[in-house]
Amino acid sequence: MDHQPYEPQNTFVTPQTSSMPTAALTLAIIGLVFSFIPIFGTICPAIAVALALLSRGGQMHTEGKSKVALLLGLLGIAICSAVTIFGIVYLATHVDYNELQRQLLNVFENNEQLQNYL
Amino acid sequence: MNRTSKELKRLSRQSLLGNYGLVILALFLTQLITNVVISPFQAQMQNYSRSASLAELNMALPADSQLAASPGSFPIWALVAMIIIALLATVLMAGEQKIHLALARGNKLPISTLFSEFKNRPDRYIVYTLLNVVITLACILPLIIIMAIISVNVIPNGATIAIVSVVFTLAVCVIVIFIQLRMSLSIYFLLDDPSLGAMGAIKESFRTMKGHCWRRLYIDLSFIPMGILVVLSLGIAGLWVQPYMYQVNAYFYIDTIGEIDRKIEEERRMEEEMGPMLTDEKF
Repeated sequence: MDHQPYEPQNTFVTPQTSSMPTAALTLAIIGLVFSFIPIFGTICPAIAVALALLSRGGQMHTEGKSKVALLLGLLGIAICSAVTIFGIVYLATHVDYNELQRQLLNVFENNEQLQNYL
Repeated sequence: MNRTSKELKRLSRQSLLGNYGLVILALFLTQLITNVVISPFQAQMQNYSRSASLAELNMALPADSQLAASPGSFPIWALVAMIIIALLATVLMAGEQKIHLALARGNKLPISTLFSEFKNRPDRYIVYTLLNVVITLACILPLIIIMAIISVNVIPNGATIAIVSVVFTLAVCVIVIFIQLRMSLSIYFLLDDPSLGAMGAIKESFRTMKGHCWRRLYIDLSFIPMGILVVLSLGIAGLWVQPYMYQVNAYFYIDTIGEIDRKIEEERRMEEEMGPMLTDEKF
């Protein structure tokens, strides 16, 4: 249905004056640095992407800092996801769990302190 | 009427810009108050379930290696207290929705609005929540009965049991989602009309949502990517995403009842009336 555009009365804050794009960009950069940490590396980029998307305000497209934050945030999430998937695949294919179990049992049997604790 | 999901989201983002402090504080306070009040009772319930699990484990262990466990009686009072707190929390949430509704109408209310509905016939929100639970349970009841019939081996074939279970579960899910969509505007009707009762708000919501269910469902589903971001950020992004969702819902309400169109029409009429005067001023 065709309708007239409606503008809410809150016009005193524009995306340019909002601090959200700056916050998003800062978090995206921090997130990119720590994106090599599996699982926890997605925290900052995910917040950055959310803030970048929300900082658009009344506009339909992201511009300036928000756009950079969005791209860096998505890159951070992609890197962290790749690292996490690689880690899972590595653990599933390269670790001998029977050997690991034997080693852990050896440690447990030779450590009296641990036995007493448990 | 019938603004698209994109348009409603654009309006929401615009009205939230500069007001995130207020809405995040409202969300944080609602969660904090509810969790702080409910936590002692939750701990009591957890202690009981832990002791009960240990007692169950003891039955499988030899007498000399049994663990200390005394589950005692079921903490019924803790459960009752948790239900009462959950019901009171809905009044707090109504206050939160009131802040969002006011923002959608271009007004900024103070944070004390969070508690305003406690003075404004809070029983309506409690009754609404209870009715919501009862209606949902009534929808699920046939599924429970069918599952009970299946469990007593009326249908011997394993594959048939699986198919029947899946079909009935899906059917119940569809019915529950449909009813929840039709009831989704009730809280706003309660906020807008203090004289309206819980049942009246549900009826009004059912009537108003006729023909808008798919649009509402599409809006709800369109939040899935944002939900993924919330999960990836271990819930932190929810501080921004949750108020955004509430704001879109508030805009959906004022759009569905035709308030936005009325406002546009009013502004257009004012412009027409003031037009010649403004032109005179210019010259």
